[in-house]
Amino acid sequence: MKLGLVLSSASAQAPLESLSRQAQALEERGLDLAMIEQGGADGPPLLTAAALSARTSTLRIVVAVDAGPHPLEIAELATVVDNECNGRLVLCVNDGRGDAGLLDETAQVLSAALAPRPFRHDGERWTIPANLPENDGQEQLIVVTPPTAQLELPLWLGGTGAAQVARAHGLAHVTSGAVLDVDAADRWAAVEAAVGSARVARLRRPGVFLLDADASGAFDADALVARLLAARAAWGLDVALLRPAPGLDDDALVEVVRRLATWVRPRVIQHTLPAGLVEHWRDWLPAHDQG
Amino acid sequence: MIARMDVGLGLWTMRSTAAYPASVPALYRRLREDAVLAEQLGFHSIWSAEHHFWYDGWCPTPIAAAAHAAAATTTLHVGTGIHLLPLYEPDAVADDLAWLQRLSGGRVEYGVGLGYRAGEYDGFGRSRKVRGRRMDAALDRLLELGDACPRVWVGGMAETALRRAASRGVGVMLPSTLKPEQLAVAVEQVHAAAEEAGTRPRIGVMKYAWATDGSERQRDRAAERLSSFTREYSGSWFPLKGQPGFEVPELLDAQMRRSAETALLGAPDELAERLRGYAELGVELCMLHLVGDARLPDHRATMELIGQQVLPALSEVAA
Repeated sequence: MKLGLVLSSASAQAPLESLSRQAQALEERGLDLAMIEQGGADGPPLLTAAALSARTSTLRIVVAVDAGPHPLEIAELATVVDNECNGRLVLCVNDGRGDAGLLDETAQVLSAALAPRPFRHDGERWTIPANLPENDGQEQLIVVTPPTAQLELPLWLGGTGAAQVARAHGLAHVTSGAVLDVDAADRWAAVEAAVGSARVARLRRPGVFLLDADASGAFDADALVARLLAARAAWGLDVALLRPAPGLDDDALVEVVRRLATWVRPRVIQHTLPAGLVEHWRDWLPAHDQG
Repeated sequence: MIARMDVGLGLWTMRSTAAYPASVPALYRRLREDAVLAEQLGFHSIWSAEHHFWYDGWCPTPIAAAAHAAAATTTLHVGTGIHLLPLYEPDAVADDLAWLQRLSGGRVEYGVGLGYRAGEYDGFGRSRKVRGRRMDAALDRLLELGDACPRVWVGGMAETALRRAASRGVGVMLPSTLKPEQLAVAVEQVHAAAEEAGTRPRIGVMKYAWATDGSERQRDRAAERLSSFTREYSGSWFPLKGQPGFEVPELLDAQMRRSAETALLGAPDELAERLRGYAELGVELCMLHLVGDARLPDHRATMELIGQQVLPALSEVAA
């Protein structure tokens, strides 16, 4: 299982420094992903990712944007950011307005636009290229450039209607940790029925979970491990993105990262660990952890 | 005493061309490395440009390039030269700029322009015919940001562009291909439009530039590179008397000669002299457009020559 943190700047005065500190802590501690979401006090997430690309070198950056803008704008920003971070971007599109049709058409355009071949789209909301008479538009097909750095940029869908739309496009959907495991399992079973077991085996199964840390960044690691392993057993969770409680300062968020790297990550990779290993860590690590 | 003039560098476009193929992620790495170098050398700013749907991967979103360069630096200003504002929703651009200003600590120089390629408007389903009206409305929306709005520069030299900037009291960014006497006339026109509007717009100018050792050989080589760079996109995109550039080679050749004649190609002392002339005219910012297809070692060598030998000469005058 891969682990990441949902970033949120803890400083209104220096948001980039705050976000960079969290992202760099994740990278230094060997965690896998940072997620940047739309909304809240922070600004447009793909711009934040463009900035953090210059401050990190190995961390995967998951950017969640709402459907709504022209999908070519999203696609172009995503391809530039993917080049800025040398192929570390994961794009997640949410049905921010709860509009499944909007999400569906956005996913359709993005699936074509993020591929390195010319395409055309004639949909309910967008015609691309538009071939407006006043533009003397001659082009019948269009290609988004630059191409992504990755051979295939991961595209996930999020929000309440995401599972159904994702199924139609053979894409991964992001599960909220608030959804019952049994319901999440039903959704993934429906995906498998629709796209087949070969395709579904290649899809990541990401989930976003609240992380109830106190003001120092401490949290109940045993409970979190149990929650993540239960989700993995029930519906195949393999990318866990943890959203800390709001209001933590940067020191606390770095402490969250430290604890995730030490007390959670080693326990959610394998199916099981040998008896006694976790107890050994409990005895040994507090005195030897380099902080 | 001559007023101080800021000197910036452009244009980072991250293109992998037929003449100079390159890895695109490596080009973005160069952007941030060059930004760091420009900051160390004392330049005021670096600028990125925008085009869409083109084989060489020309950066389609200079705001994202600016965010990337800003995160790699601490004092350097980051500019868009230019952003095709009428293509976008003004509220979204306002959000982008306000956030970029916060991320960068207020280091954004926001250049805007109408663009000219119909295919870019058509891709986004925008009518090219109403781009001027969309530009006006979008500028007004951005200026509502108040302190969160970066410094705005309106690109162009048509009367409507000058009035657009002057009426709002924002900067004017004059194009590269003005001869010295034309630049003086354009500056006068800006002042006249500003007087009429009761404003004091800033004046900037872009200039193709390359620092040489002063020899004819190096100057010719720089001119050849400039021609190679501009011929490709002028021939493909510029309508010259209503026809695509490559279909009217004599007009395209004339355009190339004009680019070379008006460029700043020469030894550092020659460049400093020309730049002093701009400062005397009242130009407050000159963005030196280093020829885009340059190979990396040459590109950095010319940055260093200008930074180490031209900038000090200008600051001595201003002091």
